[in-house]
Amino acid sequence: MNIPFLHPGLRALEDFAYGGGEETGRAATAVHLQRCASCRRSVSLIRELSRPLEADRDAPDAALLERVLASRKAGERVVLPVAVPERVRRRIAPQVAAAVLVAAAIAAIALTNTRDAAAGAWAGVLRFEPETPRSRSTVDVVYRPSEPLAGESVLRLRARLRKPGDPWYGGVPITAVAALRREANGTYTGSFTLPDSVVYAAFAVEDTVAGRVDDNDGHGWELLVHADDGRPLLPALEQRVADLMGRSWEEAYATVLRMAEVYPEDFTTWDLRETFDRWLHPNSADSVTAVYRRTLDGLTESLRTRQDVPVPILERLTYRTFTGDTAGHGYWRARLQQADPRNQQLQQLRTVELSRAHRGDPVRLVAALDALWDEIGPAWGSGRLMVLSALNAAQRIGDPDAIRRWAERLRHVETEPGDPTIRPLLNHSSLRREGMARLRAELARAADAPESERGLYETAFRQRARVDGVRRRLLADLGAALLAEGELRPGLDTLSIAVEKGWNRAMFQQVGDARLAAGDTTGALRMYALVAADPRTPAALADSLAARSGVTGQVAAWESLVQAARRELPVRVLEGADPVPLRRRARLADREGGTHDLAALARGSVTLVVFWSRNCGPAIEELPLVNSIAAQLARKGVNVVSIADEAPAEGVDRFLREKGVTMPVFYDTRGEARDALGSFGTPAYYMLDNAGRIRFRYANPVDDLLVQAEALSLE
Amino acid sequence: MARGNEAAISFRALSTLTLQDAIAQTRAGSPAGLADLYNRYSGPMLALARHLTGSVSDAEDVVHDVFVGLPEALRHYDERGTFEAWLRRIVTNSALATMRRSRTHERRFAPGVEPAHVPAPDQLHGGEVWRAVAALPGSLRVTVELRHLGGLTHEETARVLGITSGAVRVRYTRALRLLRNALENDR
Repeated sequence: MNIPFLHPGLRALEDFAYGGGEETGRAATAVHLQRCASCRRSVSLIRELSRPLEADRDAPDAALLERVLASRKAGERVVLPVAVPERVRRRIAPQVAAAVLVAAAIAAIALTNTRDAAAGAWAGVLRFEPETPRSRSTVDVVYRPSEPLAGESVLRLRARLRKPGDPWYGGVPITAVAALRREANGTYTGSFTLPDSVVYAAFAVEDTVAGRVDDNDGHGWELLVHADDGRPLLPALEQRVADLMGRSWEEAYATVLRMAEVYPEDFTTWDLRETFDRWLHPNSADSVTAVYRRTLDGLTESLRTRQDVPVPILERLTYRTFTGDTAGHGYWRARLQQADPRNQQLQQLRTVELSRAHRGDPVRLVAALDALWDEIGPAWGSGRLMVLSALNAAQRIGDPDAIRRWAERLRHVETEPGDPTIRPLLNHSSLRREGMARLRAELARAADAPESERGLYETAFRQRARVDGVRRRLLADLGAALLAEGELRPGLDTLSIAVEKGWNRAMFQQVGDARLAAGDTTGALRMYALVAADPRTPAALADSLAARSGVTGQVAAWESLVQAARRELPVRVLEGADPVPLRRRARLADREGGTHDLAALARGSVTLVVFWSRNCGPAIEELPLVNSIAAQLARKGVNVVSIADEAPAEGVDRFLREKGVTMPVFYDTRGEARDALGSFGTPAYYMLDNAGRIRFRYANPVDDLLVQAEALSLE
Repeated sequence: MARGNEAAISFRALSTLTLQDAIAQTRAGSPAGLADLYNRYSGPMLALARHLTGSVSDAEDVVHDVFVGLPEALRHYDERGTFEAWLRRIVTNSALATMRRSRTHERRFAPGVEPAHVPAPDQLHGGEVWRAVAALPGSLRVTVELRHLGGLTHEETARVLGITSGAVRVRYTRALRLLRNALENDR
């Protein structure tokens, strides 16, 4: 029978249970307890839970003690977390002098876990002070490197600095923000000031020639700007999500969850959360979808009553209501129109409407989009659709002025470095010369390998290798253009340079065709032989290439060309694929609970390691293809180790059955494989050589894995 | 003589040490001091680590690491509060760090998520109350465990879980209610 009076709160019950708090408080609680059985029960539960546990009196495990003493004797040391590991950034009391905190940071860093360094882990330890800076703060840096950087007198701290509204994925320049100088005790110190309006920064440390980069095992280091109330700024969290796109879906999603936690009344956080959830967890329960629906509807309603809704939120509301809520869409679009008539979202929506209205009539569409540009241009962000649609229509008409005009407008919306006008111009005969001129300028520019375009975790060497690949693709375009202009010799020469190095099956075919058309059968055959040597090329295609060059009757000659191409394959593919050892020992579990060592699994043969997750949309999508590639590789004697990001469970078994996964599956329950390979998200692919060293860290397209494995087998 | 016996003999020989002496010797790097502390506390620490990680082998790894690191960590022990409570917090923190690395943490502690493998009651120690705790939903169970096994305050639990201390108290209160119901139904 419920007694309708107030029960004491938890604090009061605990005070009573433990004999703490005020005497008067306990007396009042005692009075309540006389009448209330459920609170009596709670108190007795609290006391029971606080009693020491019975089995704690087991006899000590002698074998474990032996291990402990042996480890100590072997010199193994472990730094223990003596403070509570925090998820929320602590607000630093202003009266504590910064110098004291820096000293404490140095002391903390001096106790770096030596065991990890011995096991081969690379990353140093870096501390910022303050850890939760305000806008425009000056930040002190203390860094302790591990072996590879420890001998330098000066190191460089580089950063990707993000402002609100910066693009997702890439297009944010990277700058050196501080020089770190060596102190007597082996740590490095420096400081920098966060520029105006920067809300998020990702960091890496490198030597002054960018020869070695510490990327903190792939995670980098970061700072989020905080408000005075101690919360990270909402745009800071948003920019963290933007920075993580393409690097780790799980971390990005975790950040979105954190946004919703810290700013639960904000429409943006819920909108983002729903979008991510829908995309990453396509099999979400209906109940989850219903919760999002209710929350978003509730937030939307409360926004209607506000005069001052920020433009980014009006954008989201307009976008969200576009499908399925006509009345709502009309309302929010009108408000967006009034607040920001040139908004990217409006640009996008009006482009969609115009495209529908003028379907099948590219001339009218171009004219309409030109008028739209005059009215609400220039396009940016999601207004990109305006430029792409117009360019596409202009190309269909074949109107050189319109093509040139809209190609120029691409510059407003492309965030990646490089000249975006080249391709559209090259593709039209009357604009080709102009395109070639711009291409030559781009080749010269790219050759400089500008610092600001070097990736945050990219060494100078890797940048040059990457730029080399970019240049060769540009050269292939230039060569094809020269040929199209009738300049045979220069065209073929340029194409030869383009295919000198690297492995690009499509380019080999393109150049083979060009050479054949120019009458250079021998040169064409060499290219076709490379195509035939590619493990992905079906026999039928190889045969037809041989036939095309008229060599069908001379089997021996063709065969010896293909053999030569096979010898070239590893040389071309492995250039720049420097071996990197596993960072540490990695123990994996199998379904039956047995333990396996990754290095042992990878021993003696080329090994493909695949990280996947049944909770990650992109990983799920690629799984069937990867599984089939893995089966092909296994038939060729390649080890395959696929790693799930969770513990073995019935749900995982079911998923594997449903997807028809035949790869061997292991479970990274300790997270050691992830650390050993520096993997930060799923899907992720690593190719290890016969000696168990990492040679490739990604494959795009995924079937490149076949070429990587082939090259390593032939090494 | 077999190695295992050495440890047993050490235990017998050293059981005359006071706790203060054992701590002092361990701090000074003495294996005998360390063995003494191990023999006193490894039992409860293993049980605690088992509760938190849900795995016997993970718990052994955690306890191994804690005792290997103990001599140096004792520099931070300022004799305030009991040694056992201090040690409990270290074991809790180590277990949490291990789980965070292996992301078991996210699954065991995520709100509303059911743990994939609840340790069978007979893997844990006995006690009707703790069996009921083991059957609680993940987020509530961990709140109780961190409080009563880890010895953390509600504020510390809040920091570990990344939620407010008010939210921790709400969960703890809910856990008490569920425990009451579960134990009453068993009667």
